[in-house]
This record gives sequence, C-alpha cells and structure tokens, in this order.
Amino acid sequence: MSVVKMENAVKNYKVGKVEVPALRGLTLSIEKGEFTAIAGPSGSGKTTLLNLFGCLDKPTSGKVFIEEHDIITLNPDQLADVRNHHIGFIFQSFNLIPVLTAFENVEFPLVLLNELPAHRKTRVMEMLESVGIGDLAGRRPGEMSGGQQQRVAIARALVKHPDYVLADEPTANIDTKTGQEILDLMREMNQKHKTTFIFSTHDPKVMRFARRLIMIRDGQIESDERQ
Amino acid sequence: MFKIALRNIFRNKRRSVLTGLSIAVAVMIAVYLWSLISGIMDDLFDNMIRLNYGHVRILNTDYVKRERLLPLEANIKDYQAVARLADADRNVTLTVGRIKFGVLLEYKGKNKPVFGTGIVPENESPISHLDQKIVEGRMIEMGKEEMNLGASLARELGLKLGDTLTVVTQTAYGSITAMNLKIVGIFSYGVQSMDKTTFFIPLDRAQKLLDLENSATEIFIFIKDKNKGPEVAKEIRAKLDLAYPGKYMAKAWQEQELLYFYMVIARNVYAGLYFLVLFLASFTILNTMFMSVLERTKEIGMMKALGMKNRQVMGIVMLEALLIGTIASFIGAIWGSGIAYYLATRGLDFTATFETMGTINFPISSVYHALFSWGIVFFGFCMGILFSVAAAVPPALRAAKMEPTESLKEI
Amino acid sequence: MKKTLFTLAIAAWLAGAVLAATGAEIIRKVDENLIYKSARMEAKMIIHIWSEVRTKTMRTYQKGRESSFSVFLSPPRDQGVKYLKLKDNMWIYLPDVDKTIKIAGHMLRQSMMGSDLSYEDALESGDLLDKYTATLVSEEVVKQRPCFVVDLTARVKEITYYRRLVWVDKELFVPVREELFAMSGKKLKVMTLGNVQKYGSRYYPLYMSMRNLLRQNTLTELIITKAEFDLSLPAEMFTQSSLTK
Repeated sequence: MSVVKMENAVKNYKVGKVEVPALRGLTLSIEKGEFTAIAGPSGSGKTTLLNLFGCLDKPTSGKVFIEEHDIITLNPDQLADVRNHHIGFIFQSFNLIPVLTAFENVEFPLVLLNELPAHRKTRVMEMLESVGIGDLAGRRPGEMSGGQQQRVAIARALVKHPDYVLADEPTANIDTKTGQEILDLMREMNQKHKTTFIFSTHDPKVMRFARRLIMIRDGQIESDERQ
Repeated sequence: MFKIALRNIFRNKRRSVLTGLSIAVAVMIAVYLWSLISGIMDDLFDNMIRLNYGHVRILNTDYVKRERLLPLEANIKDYQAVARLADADRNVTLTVGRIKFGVLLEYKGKNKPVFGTGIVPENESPISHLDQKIVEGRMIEMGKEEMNLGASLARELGLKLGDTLTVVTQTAYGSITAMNLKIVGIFSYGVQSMDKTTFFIPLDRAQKLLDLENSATEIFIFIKDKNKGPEVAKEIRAKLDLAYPGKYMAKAWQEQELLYFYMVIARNVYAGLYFLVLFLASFTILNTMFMSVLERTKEIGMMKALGMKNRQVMGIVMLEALLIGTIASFIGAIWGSGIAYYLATRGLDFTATFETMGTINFPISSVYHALFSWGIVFFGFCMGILFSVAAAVPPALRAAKMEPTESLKEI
Repeated sequence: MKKTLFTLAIAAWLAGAVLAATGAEIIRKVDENLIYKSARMEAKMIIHIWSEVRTKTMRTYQKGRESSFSVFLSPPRDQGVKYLKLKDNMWIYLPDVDKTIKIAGHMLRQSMMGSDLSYEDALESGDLLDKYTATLVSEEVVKQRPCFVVDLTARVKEITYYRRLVWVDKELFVPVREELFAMSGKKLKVMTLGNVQKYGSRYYPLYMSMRNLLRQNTLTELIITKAEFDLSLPAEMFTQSSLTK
C-alpha cells in the first residue's frame, strides 16, 4: 500500500510571463516503510517534488494521493490538517523555532494537534531520549550544535507518529561524521517505528545508504532502483 | 502559542522597546492631553453657564432670535412678577434679573465697544463670583451710580479706581442716553472676555439708564441640581405659557444650541487630536511588526509546513502586538496620569499668551487646570491596546499569506 | 422725412426739459412756502412703538433752513435735552451727565429720540435741488386734493435716500406725502403731512407722520401746537454755548 503517490504530476512556475516547467508528468508511488532517497542536480525538480509530497503546494495538473486521498480539492486549512496529521518534516537548516527550547520545539506539533499537556510531556521526553538528547531538553537551538539541532528536528518530525517523513537534504549542513550519525538515527527510526522516510540529497554517501534511490532530471524520473 | 509570542518580543529587545516606547508616549500624550482639554472645557462650560445662561434662563421670545444684538426692547416687563413664578418651584435656589447692554465706551479719546450688565450685587455671588473677583475697591451697591470694571479694560482705557466715566448709549426706545458712573471696584477673572470687555452696574441704574423701569432682559434661575435643568425649564415654561401666553420662554443650559454646538465642536476637535496621536504611534507598530514578520519568513513557512493554520499564524503576530501594546499602554497611562495629576493640581498659566492674542470672546480662564479622572486614564490605556492590535492586522495578514513552501527554499 | 424726425426729437427733448423745469419749479415753490427766515414752534412728538405710546413735547427755534435749536420739555426723563443743528452738524446736550455729544458717523442713521426719524432726517438742510433732479411724473388726487407727483432722483450715489416721490398739493404747494427709497429701490420711509394752516399768504402743515418701514409696528407723529414765524431770535441761540445754558 502506498503512503503517498502522484500520477502524471505536472508543475509549472511562472517566471515573469514565461511558464517554466519544473515537473513534466511524473508518476511515483512511495510504499509504507520505505527509506527512499531522491537525488538530482539543482533545478531537476527535486524541491518541487518534495513540495508536492509535503502537501505544501498543489500540482498544475495530475494528481497527488496521500493515503489514497486526492489533495487537489483541499483548501489551505485542510492541507494544513493533512500535513499536521500525516507528514513529518526535517529541513536542511534544521528550522527550529529559535525562541523555544528543544523540548518546546518537539512539543510544537503536538500543540497544533491539541494534545493534552500531560500526554505531550511523556511523548516528547520519550522522543528526545530515543534520538539521544534527553539531557538537552531545556536548551534553545542557539545553544546546541548542528547535529544536536538536527536530532531535535528528527524528534519533532517523529513525535506525532506521521505516516511518512520528508527530509530535505538533512545532512547538508553538518559534518560528515555527524551526518552519518543522523543517517543512522533515521534508519533506526525507520526500522523501529516503521516510519516511511523520503529524503532529497545530492550526497553520494546518502544515496548509497538509501534502500530506494530515485534519480530525477529535468522534471522526469531518470532512474528508480531498489537496493 | 502565548509562549512563542511572548518570547518573540524579547528576540529583538531594542526594536520591541522602541515600539513600546512610541506607544507608551502616545498613550501618555493622549491621557494628559485629554485630561487637560477636559479640564479646560469643564471650566469653559462652567463659566459659560454661570455667566451667560444660568441653569435656566427666562427671556422674551423676541429676544432669542436676536440675542447677539442685545435687543433691549424685547425685555421682560415687571420681571419680579415673572421671577416669582419660577421661585415657586422647589428646585429653584435663586432667581435674579439682569440687563445686558452694549456700549461704546469712550475715555480720553479712546473708545471701545464693551458690554455692560445691570446686576443685583447681593445676588451676584453664585453667578459671576464677582465678590471674589474684585481685586481693587469694592462691589457696586444698589441705587448708586457706580460701576465695577474689568482690569484689562481699565488698563486699556487708562482708568483707575475713583474715576468717573460717562457711559453713553441708547435706551430701549432708541434715545441717546448717558450716565456718569464712578468706578468703585476693579475685577479680574483671569478670563479675557470678562476682564477686557465688561463692566457691571446696579440693576436699578441700568433700568434708569436704558429706560427700562421694572424690566430686565433676562432672568437667571439657579437650581439645586444643575442636571435637572431641562425638567425645571419645562415646568417654568408651562407656568409662563399660562400667565403670559407666547411672550416669554425658559431654556435650560442644556438646551442652549450655542453651548451644545461648542460642546460638539470641542468634543470632535479633541477626539480628532486624540486619535491622531494614537494613529501616528500605531504606524511604528505597523512598521516593526512588518519588519519582524518579514524577517521570519522561513520560520513562519516552517510553522505552516508543520500544520499551523493561517488563523493561528495571524494570532501569534497579533498576540505579540497585544502584549507589547498592553505593557506599553500601561506604562504610558501611568506617565500620562502623572502629568495629568500635576496639571490638575498645579495648573498651566496662559495669561501672557492671551494678553498678546487680544480679546477672545470666550469665558476661558487664563490658568488651565486639567481634569484628572481614572476614567480618562483607563480609556487611554484601552485605546493604546486597541490601536496596537489594530496596527498589527496588516503585518499579521501578511504573515498568514506566507507560503509553507518557503520552508524548503534554499537561501 | 429726416427733417421731420429731427424736429420730433427736438420737440421730445424740449418737452422733457419743460417737464423737468416744472418739477424743479414745484419743489422750489414748496421751499418758498415752508422755509421762513425764522420760526418758533412748540410741538408734540407721539411715538407709537411696540404697542406703547410715548409722548414728548419740545420747543424748536429755526433760522432759515440751516439752523435750529430744540429743547425737550417733557417727559421728565427727557426734560432739558437740547439739540442744536448748524448746517450739517448736530449736537445733543444731555443734562443728566451735563455733557454735549456730537452726532457723527454711524450715529447719524440712528433713531432720534426713539422716533422713526433719524438724526440724518432732522439734519437735512440745503436745497434738495442741489442733490436731486426733479421730474414731474404725474398728477394724482390725494385726500380729495389734486396733487403733482414729483420724482426726485439723486445725482450722487453716496446718499441715504436715492430716490424720493413727493406729492404736492397743486393749489397750496404744500407736500402731502413723501416716500423715500434706497438705491436698491426698497421703500424705506413714508411721510404724510396734513392740517395745513395759512400764515399770511403762505401755507404750513402742522401735522406730520413718519413711518420707518425698517422697524416693525412703529409710527411717529409730530403735531405742531404753536407756530410763530419771522420773529427776531438772538444770534447766540444758534451756537454751542446755548446748549449748556
């Protein structure tokens, strides 16, 4: 069963008066529990693909299904609900809320889901422990290293048990050694919680690490292989 | 959510302090300006009521239309009988007849149009407080050809205590008439329209001078509770209509169009000023909130990516403005009430300014006292918050419109 | 043909001139009738004002058309008030304050003693024909007396009454009615004269009424109760010093 899939998705951007195609009729399905890397050079349509998978944007034509539901007809609030309930995000530059502590950052998605405070607390602490930074709960992002911040981001993405996690170049902003730790952590989570991971990258090491590698070029799939 | 908003304020302390300061200053100005203007207005209306209208005033029906011309022929004949009608009302504490007339005062080649008023000296205290305002000499006495003259007017014409002045005017019937009046007292109200253009003579002398035996041009009525003016006026009107159909009318000070007109104008002018100050301050909020929202484009994009809704994003920005606005308005209200309290107790002296401005036809005191009231302070506080929040609406809308895709953009 | 037209035009112009001459002639005859070298009169001034009647009595001395001196005899309030008129000047003496006031400027148009006459009306002296062009406009019968109607239109603009219409008794050459107009054409005052008495070969009206149409419900009557003409009056009477005497 697919967690997210797109059929013949086309996305055009308007640059001035010219329509520039970013995705040219892309069909792709991600199955539950997959650990997928999407790679391709800059401008290949990688980010656009992530936007559509992340329900952050809608395709110009074609369809996107999340849990077999078409998102084309949804309004911004409903899209927000879909993101809230089904998708976790990990960003290249961590993108934590600088005024909140690690604990509060991880708690944030649960607040948006209106979870009860007591319930929130145990979930957040569990999550922080499982990404290995339980002792840093009270720190603010500015007081942590890049690796620690990305761990917080992973905890934030996973705390609500999403159907799948989108990670946008999760290792680009950290050193190789820490990057490996982060990849290991994501793999561990993938296995432990059966969480589906989709990440974009152009790091060959990351590509090798993935169980499924999709290469994109000029808005089309160049190759799609499972290892 | 509240935590985010609160902590965002401390993110850029300098900016928040500056924003807060501009709101605080605006609220301060609004509060003390309003206190001051209310004080001035209360004083003005109190003077106007006492000097020009009484709580209720009886006039000849014809007098009303031409009041500016002081038409002596439209007077109240046998005014004491008329006054007795009003006296019967149990709310009434005092009725007093007066004659107001215009004179071209001439002295040693200088002349000046002024207003004379014939008064009953012993009843004058609650009306014009004349007894307290005499700065030199004494009050006039009934039956004597004497006058009390405004201090500024005396100075202008070069008159002093003990001088005798010939007042030449026209009688109610149009004849030329004159009377020699001795200056026995000089008064100073600190109100230019009084000190510069008026004099008082005994009512009986005014009646003789103007050929108005037993008549008055107006009857002032004072009542226990001045708020009951319209009711008392209505009762007196009924009695007048019975005794003198169509001839005389009674009007409460609340029913004076001119007074009401001034009140409306005054209210509009100061409301305008008030909101202008707050409006200007709200621009700072608008500006700083825009700046902070635009700075956080990526962060807001991320929050939306995590599932935050437009409404919630707006809420966070507004909450931030509300917090700054509340704290700043509170500080501003305290500052403002401090100044207002000072102005209420000490007053602000404008005598010199008015001297140079020439005659103002308003009974405005030259020393202003602010009116201190917690109501004004509280209103200022609320308005500060309201304007802060209102000013945050455009930046909040801008924030809500930001795209969640911003979160994935590489910088 | 041309010649005829010319003749007609001349005739019309001549006719106009004749009419004007007649108008001026009538006014001149009226003046001859009314103006004495000197006069002494006692008069009652009855002022009807706002449903009140106020009566004043006075004694007036006149010398020609330019000088007059009046003393009020009653009521008590006005007793001893004196008026002196010399050409275009007027002074009032007020005994209450023992002061003489010169009437000048805006005061001239104000009511005299509360009557319908203004000081200016009382001051009017000199020949009307100096300022006005007189034209005989028609003839009418007023109070059973046949009258000339003479139109007097001012030659200057700075004048209170730009136009006057005078009804003159054809036989006695005494005016019986006069209407005074502003330049706008608004009627300002109406005067009527009556009770014409014969003094020697001349006629003099002993009753006059004046209504100022700018005031409401007022009327002033002047009744001459006693009149003597051409008597000798002391010259110092018509000087300012006589006011304070």
